[in-house]
Amino acid sequence: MSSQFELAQNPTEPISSVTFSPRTPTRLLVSSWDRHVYLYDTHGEPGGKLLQKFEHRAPVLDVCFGRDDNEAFSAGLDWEVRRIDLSSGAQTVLSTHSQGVRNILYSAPHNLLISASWDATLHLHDLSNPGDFSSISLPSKPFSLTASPTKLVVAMASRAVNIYELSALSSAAKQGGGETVNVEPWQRRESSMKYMTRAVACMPNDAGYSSSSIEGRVAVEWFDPSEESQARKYAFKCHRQNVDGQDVVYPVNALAYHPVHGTFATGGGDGVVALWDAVAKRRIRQYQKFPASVQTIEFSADGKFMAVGVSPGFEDGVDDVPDGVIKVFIRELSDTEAQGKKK
Amino acid sequence: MTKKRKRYPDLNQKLERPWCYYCERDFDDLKILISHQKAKHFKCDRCGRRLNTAGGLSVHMNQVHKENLTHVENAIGGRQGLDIEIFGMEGVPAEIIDQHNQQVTQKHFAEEAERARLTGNPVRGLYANGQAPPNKRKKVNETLEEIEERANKFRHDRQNGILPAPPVEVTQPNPVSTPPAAAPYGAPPAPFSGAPAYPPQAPPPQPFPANGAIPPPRPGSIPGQPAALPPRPGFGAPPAFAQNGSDPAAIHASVDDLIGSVANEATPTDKKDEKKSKKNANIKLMFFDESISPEEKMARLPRFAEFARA
Repeated sequence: MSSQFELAQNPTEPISSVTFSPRTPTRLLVSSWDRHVYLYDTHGEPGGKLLQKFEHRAPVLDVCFGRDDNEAFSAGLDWEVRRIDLSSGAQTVLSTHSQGVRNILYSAPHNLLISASWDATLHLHDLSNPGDFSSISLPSKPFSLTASPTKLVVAMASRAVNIYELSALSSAAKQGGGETVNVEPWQRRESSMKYMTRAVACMPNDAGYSSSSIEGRVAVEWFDPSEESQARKYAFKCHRQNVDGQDVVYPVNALAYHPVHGTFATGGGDGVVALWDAVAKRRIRQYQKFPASVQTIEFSADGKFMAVGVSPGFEDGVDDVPDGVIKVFIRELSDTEAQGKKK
Repeated sequence: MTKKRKRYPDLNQKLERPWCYYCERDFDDLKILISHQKAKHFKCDRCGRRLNTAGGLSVHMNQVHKENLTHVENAIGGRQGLDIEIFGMEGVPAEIIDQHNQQVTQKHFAEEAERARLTGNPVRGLYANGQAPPNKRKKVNETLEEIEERANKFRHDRQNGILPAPPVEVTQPNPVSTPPAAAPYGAPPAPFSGAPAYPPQAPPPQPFPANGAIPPPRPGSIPGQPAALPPRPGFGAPPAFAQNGSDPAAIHASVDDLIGSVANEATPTDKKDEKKSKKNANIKLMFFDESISPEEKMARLPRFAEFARA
């Protein structure tokens, strides 16, 4: 059975990120431009139970779970990387960037917290050594961050993409002291798309990643630098609409891989979520349009749920973010719903 | 070897042609008719199998696909029924054959009459039995007086220098005068081969204003412009036009036209670019920026910037 519902209590400003706990598939964190992080039990009651909200000083741009269900990390326009104790609500600042912090990511196998800021740095926090971090500088502003079990992919401005080995970052983090350390990326790539990279997501099987651009396009690439693997990379158009003979092209804001089936979902400014099979190069399904732009998508660790953060986003030609629906939708996926083509 | 078909077959030949009961189409021979019926009328739309008759298709649909055939595909109104077993020309009811033959005959005579009207030739077989066809040229019956009168008028006119009315000629469009603009792409633009616009004693036009710099050669490296683009007359040129006595503005205009025409000839090379830009023109990006992400733009909005750290 598959079904979909929306959370009953939603943020009041656009949603920046949704994330499931890696251990409890009904525990969901939502960060919002309304300066709060929300913690839900999606199935605690019909429409989901809002367990708690955590106020921040500035709009929150990203949130992630930490080592257990009661630890979360957030980042936002207050330039700070915070640890939130979800049971007590206590917040501690781990490090401060010199610009807004766009992304935050916790890599469990390396016990490493990585934050990416528009000041073109990454902060590496070795969580076994609390309060300490190292900084590495990037060639450009980072826009999106994703990690596989062994790699970290950073998509940046100027269509640059750096791929780091998490083990190298982990040892760099141990230097600590807030020092800037030099870590050579494992690979430096240029985006295969012409326009600004919007999001990246790693394949759960550590084979590669996909990236999306503001110009309705998604590229799929493989880590393996061999020629055969590189020849397999491709890109395709999506999230477009033909209106009176004109192609209206929406940014692809969200990318997420299904942890079990290895297929991935894209969410676009057109409010559409589609599931794709990266290997068979097929669209598996496309869901009914959401009432506003899809900003973020996340699958639960067991692959049974998909959370979709819907809210109006910034569009060209407007002075403000337009009014619109701001809601988190939870979709319960049937066993085969996100399954790719059988071999 | 097949027999050569007459361009205008006679009625009997037309009546002999096999035709399809279901769609009234006629064919050169029976084999083609049968394969037509199998493909158009007796083909299973589920599996593509071609049966020989409508009854055969009905049985096939029943047994293989568990469906009932209700009508014959692609048949004209009234002939979709499965009750008549048709195979080629077999099984066609006599009254339908009569009806068809009548139609063919009518059509045949209508076509012949139309052809006779268009060509002016007599209808075939019309004068076969010894009857003489009417003379095409109109017979003129003139009396002696009328002939004399005509001769006198001619003499009189000749004395007065009036030419006899010429026979009416069919005016044909002159095929010789092709417009010079129709020169094929790649041909050198003829008007510039000898620079006829300038008198020989005039100094050659300066392609660049004389500011001391040596004019660099034009290698035609500018994309989309032909290498043979003629130099535009610079400001040193006008005296030459004055000597020539012609209006410099007019010559300027004509030179501009010529340059334009040469540039137009070059457009085929630009077509690809043009197409691309056209493609781009028809795309509307909901968000575009080279290096500033939507979130950064959003963060600058007053309602969010208020809380952001500065």
